[in-house]
Amino acid sequence: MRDSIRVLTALGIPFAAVVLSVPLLARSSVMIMGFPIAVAWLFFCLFLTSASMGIVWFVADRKRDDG
Amino acid sequence: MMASFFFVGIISLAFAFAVLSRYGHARQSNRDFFVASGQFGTFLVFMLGVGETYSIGSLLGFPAAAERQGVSFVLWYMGFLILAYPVGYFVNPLIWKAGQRYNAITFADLFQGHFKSPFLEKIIVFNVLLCLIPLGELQFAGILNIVNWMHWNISPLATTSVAALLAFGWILISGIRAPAYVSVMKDLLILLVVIGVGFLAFRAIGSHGGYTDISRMGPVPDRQDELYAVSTIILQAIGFCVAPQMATFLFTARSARVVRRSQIAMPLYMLMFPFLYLVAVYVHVTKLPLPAANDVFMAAANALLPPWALGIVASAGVLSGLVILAGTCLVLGPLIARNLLPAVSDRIQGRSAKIAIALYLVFSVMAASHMSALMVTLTSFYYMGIIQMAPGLASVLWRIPAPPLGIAMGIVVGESVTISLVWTGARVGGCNVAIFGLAANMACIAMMWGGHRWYGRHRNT
Repeated sequence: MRDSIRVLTALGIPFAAVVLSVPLLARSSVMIMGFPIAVAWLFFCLFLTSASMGIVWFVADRKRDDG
Repeated sequence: MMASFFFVGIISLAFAFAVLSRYGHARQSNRDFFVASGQFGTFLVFMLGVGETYSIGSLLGFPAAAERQGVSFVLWYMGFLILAYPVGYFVNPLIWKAGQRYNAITFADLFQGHFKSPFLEKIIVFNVLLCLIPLGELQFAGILNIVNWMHWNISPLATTSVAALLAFGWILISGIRAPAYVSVMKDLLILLVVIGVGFLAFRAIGSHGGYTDISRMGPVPDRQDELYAVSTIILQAIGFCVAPQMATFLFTARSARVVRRSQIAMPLYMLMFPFLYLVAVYVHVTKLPLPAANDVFMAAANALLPPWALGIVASAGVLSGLVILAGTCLVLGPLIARNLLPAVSDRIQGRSAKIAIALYLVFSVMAASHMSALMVTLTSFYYMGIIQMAPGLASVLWRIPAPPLGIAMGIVVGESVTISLVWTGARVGGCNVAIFGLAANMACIAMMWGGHRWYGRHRNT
């Protein structure tokens, strides 16, 4: 896996998911399972961020000598 | 009575854990005492690193600020923590490698190793000390807040003094190993307590008319709030990795691989935040009376749990304060002994570090008696100072030959700009003012670097 793809997957995806949620969702009055949508989305981002790093680790970094 | 029994029992058990951590490491060198000789595997590095998330500040400060400020606060606070882990996934292994390269125990060792400038080393030490001083006070204020709910007839000074003695005892027993081992117990307790109180809060909200009031918790964010959230998320996600405690925790790791792997599950460890949010909603919906602003979690626990369980909640909170306090002391002590007194022997450095830690604890105990500011506000000030060291650390990690005087002046200028903007109350477009401090810092480095290169060329011709 190329370095740019590693960074884009493990950092770019969570970064876009968290930072873009502020202007897009902060003022919405939509509720998901009792939480404001912006807060519910951040809870989802916990899984998304771990998954992004996990994918890069298992596909690329696990095999690297220096981790 | 039962609450006190559980509280004392759990704190005693934690002390036993600290003693247990000494097993097999009775004779410790300074390197072993402060960074466990770089022997920790993924699990203990994970526990040390993630312990910063499960601090007393999160336990008390998060639900309190969420209840008061609503979505505006939750966005930036959770946002920066979530992004700190992927930033760390790439940056932390580089910090570990730089630590190996320069045989570092402290954060300032990285700068001394790369720049070979005693002046810059001292600037880093003073900046780190300035940033760390409020942390001790913060932990004691949280501990006082929690112990108040036990309704014991003891003075705040006695409470904080006993807490300081406990933290100092752990440190003397086995250095960094003690907070690492106690972290395991502390985090299990915090998880149990937060999920328990959060679940009961969830049930109570349902029986209290449901979630109709949630959307009205705190004001609706405006454009300035959004800009503040985005700028703070970016600044503090980087600041979290630049924090000197993080470097010390990373130096305990066996390899860069261990450091990187430990980052992957850290966001999942933040799953206590939905439960803390539910606690804030419960307090908001039921209009529970709060003796102090930061009492949201403890007031909810008091209202929802049987009296004996409050002892478990209080002990979990106090342990989270003590673990962070011990970790902070173990960063601060060697900074003073090793980077301010580099010419003395290893043995004297070890003793000086312990004296510095004792003095720091005494200072923090005294300061806690007079502190009234909110915890989250203090945390924000902390990151404003820490972030100014990011350009210098980037030079160390990517081996950029920036001039050390430029890095030092950048830190001084960046902090002066930030503090001036905070004091004057300027809200430049709503952005976190530390961004302007960081911009001034980088401009200063660029000017000094340009001047340095021009002088070099001019002198050669």
